Amino acid sequence: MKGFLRRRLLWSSLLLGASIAAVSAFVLWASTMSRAAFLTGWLLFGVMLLLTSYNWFKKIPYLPLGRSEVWLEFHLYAGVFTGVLFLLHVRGRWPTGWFELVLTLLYAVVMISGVLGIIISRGWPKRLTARGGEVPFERIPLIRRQIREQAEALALNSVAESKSATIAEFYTRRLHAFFRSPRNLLSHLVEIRLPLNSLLNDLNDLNRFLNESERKVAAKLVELVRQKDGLDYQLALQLSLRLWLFIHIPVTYSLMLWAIAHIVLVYGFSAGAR
Amino acid sequence: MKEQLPSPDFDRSRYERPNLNWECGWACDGCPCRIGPSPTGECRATAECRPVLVKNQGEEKGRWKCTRSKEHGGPCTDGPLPDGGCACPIPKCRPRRSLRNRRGRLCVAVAAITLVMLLIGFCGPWQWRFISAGPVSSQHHGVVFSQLKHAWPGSEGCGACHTAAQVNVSTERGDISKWLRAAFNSRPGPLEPHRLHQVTPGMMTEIDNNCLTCHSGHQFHQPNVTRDHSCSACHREHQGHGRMLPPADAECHSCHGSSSTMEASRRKGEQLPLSAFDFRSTNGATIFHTPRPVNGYTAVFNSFAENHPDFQIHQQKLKDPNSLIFNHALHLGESVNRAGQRLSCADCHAPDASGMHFQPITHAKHCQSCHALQFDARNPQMRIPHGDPANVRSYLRSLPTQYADLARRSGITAQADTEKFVAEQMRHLRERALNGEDLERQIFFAADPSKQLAPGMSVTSAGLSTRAQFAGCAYCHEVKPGGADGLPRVTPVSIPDRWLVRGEFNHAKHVIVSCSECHAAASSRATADIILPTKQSCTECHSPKGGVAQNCSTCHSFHTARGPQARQLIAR
Amino acid sequence: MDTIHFVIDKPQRWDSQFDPEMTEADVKRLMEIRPFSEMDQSKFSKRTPLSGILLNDARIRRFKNGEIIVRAGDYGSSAFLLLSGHARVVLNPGLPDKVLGRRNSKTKSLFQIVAQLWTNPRDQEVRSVEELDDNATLETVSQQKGVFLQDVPRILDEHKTATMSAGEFFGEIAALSRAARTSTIFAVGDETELLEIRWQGLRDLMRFDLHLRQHIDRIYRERTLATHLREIPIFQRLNDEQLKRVIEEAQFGTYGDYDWSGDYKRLAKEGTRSPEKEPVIAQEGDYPNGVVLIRSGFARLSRKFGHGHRTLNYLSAGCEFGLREIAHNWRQRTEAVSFQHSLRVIGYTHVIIVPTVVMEEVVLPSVKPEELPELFTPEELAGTTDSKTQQTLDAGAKIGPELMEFLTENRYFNGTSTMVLDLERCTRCDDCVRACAAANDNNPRFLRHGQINGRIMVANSCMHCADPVCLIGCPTGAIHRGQVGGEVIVNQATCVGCSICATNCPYEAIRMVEIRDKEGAFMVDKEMRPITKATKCGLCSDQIGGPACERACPHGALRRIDMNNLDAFARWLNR
Repeated sequence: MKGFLRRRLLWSSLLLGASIAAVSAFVLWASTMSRAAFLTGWLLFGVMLLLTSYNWFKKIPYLPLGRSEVWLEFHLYAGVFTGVLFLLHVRGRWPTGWFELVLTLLYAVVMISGVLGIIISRGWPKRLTARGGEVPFERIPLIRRQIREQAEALALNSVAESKSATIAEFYTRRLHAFFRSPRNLLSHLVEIRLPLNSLLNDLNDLNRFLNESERKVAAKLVELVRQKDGLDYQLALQLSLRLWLFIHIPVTYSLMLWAIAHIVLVYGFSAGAR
Repeated sequence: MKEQLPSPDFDRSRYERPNLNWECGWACDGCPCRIGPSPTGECRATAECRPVLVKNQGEEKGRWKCTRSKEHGGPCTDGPLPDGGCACPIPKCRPRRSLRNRRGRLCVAVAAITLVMLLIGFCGPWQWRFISAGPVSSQHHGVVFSQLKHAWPGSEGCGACHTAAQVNVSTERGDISKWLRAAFNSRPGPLEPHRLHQVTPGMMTEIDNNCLTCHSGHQFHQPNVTRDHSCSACHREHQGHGRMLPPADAECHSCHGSSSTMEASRRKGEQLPLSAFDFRSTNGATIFHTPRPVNGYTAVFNSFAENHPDFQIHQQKLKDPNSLIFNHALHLGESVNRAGQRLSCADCHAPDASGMHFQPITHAKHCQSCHALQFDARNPQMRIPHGDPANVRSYLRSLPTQYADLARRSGITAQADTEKFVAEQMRHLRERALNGEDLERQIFFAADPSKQLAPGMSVTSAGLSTRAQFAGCAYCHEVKPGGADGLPRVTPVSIPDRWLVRGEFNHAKHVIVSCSECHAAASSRATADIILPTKQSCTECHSPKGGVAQNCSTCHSFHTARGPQARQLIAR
Repeated sequence: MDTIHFVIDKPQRWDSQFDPEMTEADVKRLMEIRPFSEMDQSKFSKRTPLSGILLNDARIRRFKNGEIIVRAGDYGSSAFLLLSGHARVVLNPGLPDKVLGRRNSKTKSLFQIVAQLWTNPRDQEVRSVEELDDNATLETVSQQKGVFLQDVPRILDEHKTATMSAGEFFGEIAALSRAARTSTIFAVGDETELLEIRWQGLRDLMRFDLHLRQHIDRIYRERTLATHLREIPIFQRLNDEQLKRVIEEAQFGTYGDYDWSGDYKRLAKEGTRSPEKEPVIAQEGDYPNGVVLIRSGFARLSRKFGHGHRTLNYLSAGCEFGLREIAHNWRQRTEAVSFQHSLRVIGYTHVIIVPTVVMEEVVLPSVKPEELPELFTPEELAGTTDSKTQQTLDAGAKIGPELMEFLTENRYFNGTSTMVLDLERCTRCDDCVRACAAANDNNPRFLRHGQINGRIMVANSCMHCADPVCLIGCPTGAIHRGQVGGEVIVNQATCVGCSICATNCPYEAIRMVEIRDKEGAFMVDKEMRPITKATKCGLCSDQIGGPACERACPHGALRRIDMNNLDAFARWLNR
């Protein structure tokens, strides 16, 4: 991963340099510059505006405004830089008024969701690849339907073929709910195999009540259960890789609006005070 | 990687379209129709095909043919209905928004909610508490304050300081448009962030003008100050309940650390008469007068521990011009003791009521117990009155009476004995002095301890130490001849009560430090010694290394009329 | 009237003539000239008679003195027959680009690109009527501006040219082999008249006329070989006579099946067997009997490894095999070596073999000693060390043998811009698909899915193959190589929806879609059959800034990789 290492070193040193510059400028001049809070505030707002514009940039991919990869790198490191700026802006103190408390909380939500987001964006593709069963997100319902229809057909046919309803009854009791809709999503997120294992164990336990041909059917059902489980895994992870942005982006807009209100209030009510 | 599940097989001849806003409602069930919803979200499903009427030659009515294409299954088995409609309708669905579209709508909804919340907050009943930057100090809080000059609604007196919050009538709410106008009228405004660097630190602002409506006379610092410093720069509000915090050092340094400002002040100070700097009221106390240095107090520094100048007393190497002759080292040394114990500082210097400073030194309280002005070794009870030389003369000229009085008090009641006693004493006196004038002269002018009028009497009983010697008034005082009526002129003694008046010092807070740690009294022989500590000794504790507070406001105040001599600052 | 069907006429093969100004009179005149006059008309099929081919698939063009007819490097799909006048062929080295006055590529203007923000249709697969009726893409002869060479006498002096006169064919190689034009040809004299036959017409002519077929075959060998050999460094110092000797003694070999429309997929599927079962061109350990030059198609370079064979690389057009061994043997007579690798055909390969004798007598002596490939060291022969040449050759080691096999089995080496996804970085966010859609009228042109090997997925996106199979069989020439860079694009106006290209493509990169009008109703023909068009990735050739998908990936997980240069691929894999 030489290229990545070099890139990370480059951006990290840039971030470090910017942070050191900001902190030193603050320490050196904050005492004399009565407007230190204003300056850090404007810088913070400007950088946050750049960060927000990443989403707008994505809407015009045909204009050569640079690679999205570079924009994301900037977004990540500038996001950390806003943390530094934020601490400088509030001088490391927890806010005491309601308005500023909400502003701080909004910022914290955006920051934390962002950090969590990049962690799962880097970690979960590896899990998805290792597990396999790759399928585009929109196709998952179709494949689920295919698997369900196959399983139902197997269960139904086994009644006619072997003149016994054991498998069909097990299907109705345990497997129908399993094949019908996405299951065990939270377990998949934390890699808990318990639900799958318990289902497979139960299927295996059923074997003692089955004859030769039924056992073949059961084996096929096991295969289908694994496929469905793999599909659920894909769904769980791909869905969360999409859903974390449902927090990060809307709250960003809320934060920006609140920040604009904050600017108006500060200018209106400070009229020159620090 | 070989344990990877294989990718499921699916029809790859269709694109996936995550860019569309709507998806077929059956998609979640696994069988989306191929037509798809319209861009506005309506289901367009009708039927599988559009039958076409085929009329061969000779036919009248013709036959309806199913036109379903090969890719979608080819012609259906049943064929179209007799009226030309398709027999395989596609069930309509309720189209769903795509995830991306829903996220966009969530953004809009959240933004709308935010705006609503802001509006409610700004225009609602708790608007002031909502936008307040933090609790206000106890002085500026409460109904009384908010009703002071105007009738503000509620207990938040925001309009007392913030012009933007001022309302005209008590029932009128705060107006957002007023806030917006105030915001854009401020200089520099929100659209001028590039002008921020032009702002001088400590500039007076609109809020400071509002402070002045109640707090008049704040401006005064020194006559040679070149510009007003903003109130709100030092006195920060919204920092919490309770009293306001003292100003931060950075504010003081904004002038005292700036060479340009100090230079301007220095030049202005050169043009002002010296009397302009004599503004402190003494309130009856004796203040040691430190002459104003040539450049005024315009040294540039930024830290107490490092480059705060030393006290002028030491810098100018001033001496105490007090005429009283006093030797601290002697009094604290071995030769002087009272009740078998050596003297300590506290034996003379008693703290005043507040504990900050000390009660003035008087002869009666502090010196007399040892220096009782006894002139007659045989009669130690005979003591010259201290103070006015005229009183001394009266006493001396009435010596026989005094002795008689003494005899009577000693128990000699008979008149003859008394007279005998008096004559006896007077005879002894004449052995010493030729006449009354001589005695008087001796008493006034003798200063030589070796020729003491009343040699020290050693006392044997426990409790009494060797009496201090009294050679004559000149032993301690500066006595010069040529006063009125032939009396000597004794230079008035002025023992300063306060030495350092530009800063506050509270002895009560320093009880943990012993007197000798700061005041080198034990080595001071001359009265002219000023045994105040140097700034260096303060920094032993009041420095980052020492760990005790060393802010400017620990000792100093910007408002010079502070302290026990201060005028009332709040004009009610 | 329902809103789902919108009736128009179904497009036909000869709906749009190559040249609308071709008249019956022209055709009549042509039929009286050789070689058409000598063709047996009965051999032609009913649906494509000779007159029909001439009327619809050919056009007469007139050129002035110095006007360029074809440029070297252009991707064209027509052959030319000189009717009257003369033309000159510029032999290698060709004219510089500046002289040729290349046309601008047809990208959208900046305003149009920005306007996509609001002009992109909101529904899927919408086609405007102007788009479908776009005959403006076929320039009529009278309107076309010609590009002229500035200084013809100087060019004639400075560059070697060959003259062609009436009755001669040229350009057929480029048209038929799906390759770039090899030479620049310009007209001499103001009365030059040519018949331009687009390759669908040429193909049909060759199919039905034996004479023409043989003739073109012969020219193909004579002409191409000379220029091709001249391009290879080792033959560059030969004089004409020596070159002639080489040409005479060179052998041709075609392995696999040239005519493979429809069969390719089956062949590709069969190719997933082990290398041993593929036809061998040269075997490791054999006596090196000639230098193998790959002319088109692909061949697998492999070495014995254990009990099997390890693929080191695949050779494509322009590569040579065996030169190092032969050069070594020529210099070290006593320590002769055999072929160090095996060469096997993958699918289809056309090779030229120059025998060792010719190499030793004629070619190698003409080369400077320092330009000869280095000798084999004993360690190399023993297999203990790898020389630098070996390492450069061994692409398989750079990207991993498993990935190498994966690429070779699935014929992905064909791609000049294969879409490769790094699944360990891809968050499945679909930003790439959305970017593709935004750049293509709100329609994505690829499916973010495909074969997976470990963490690499090759998505179903057009790879713009070096040897595009999809071009074969298009009845109207709608699918063609763009002028710039050689990307393969489909002209929506002339596509008739026959889906031959979609069936041909072994990588499932072309998809047939049912087009709609701007209200969202399906366009159908008079029999209510939906009109389909072939759609595929066009490498964003009409946009600025290159493919939108690559730019849009936030995690650097998607790359368009040229599989003919595996170094870049290896670098990206190991970043």
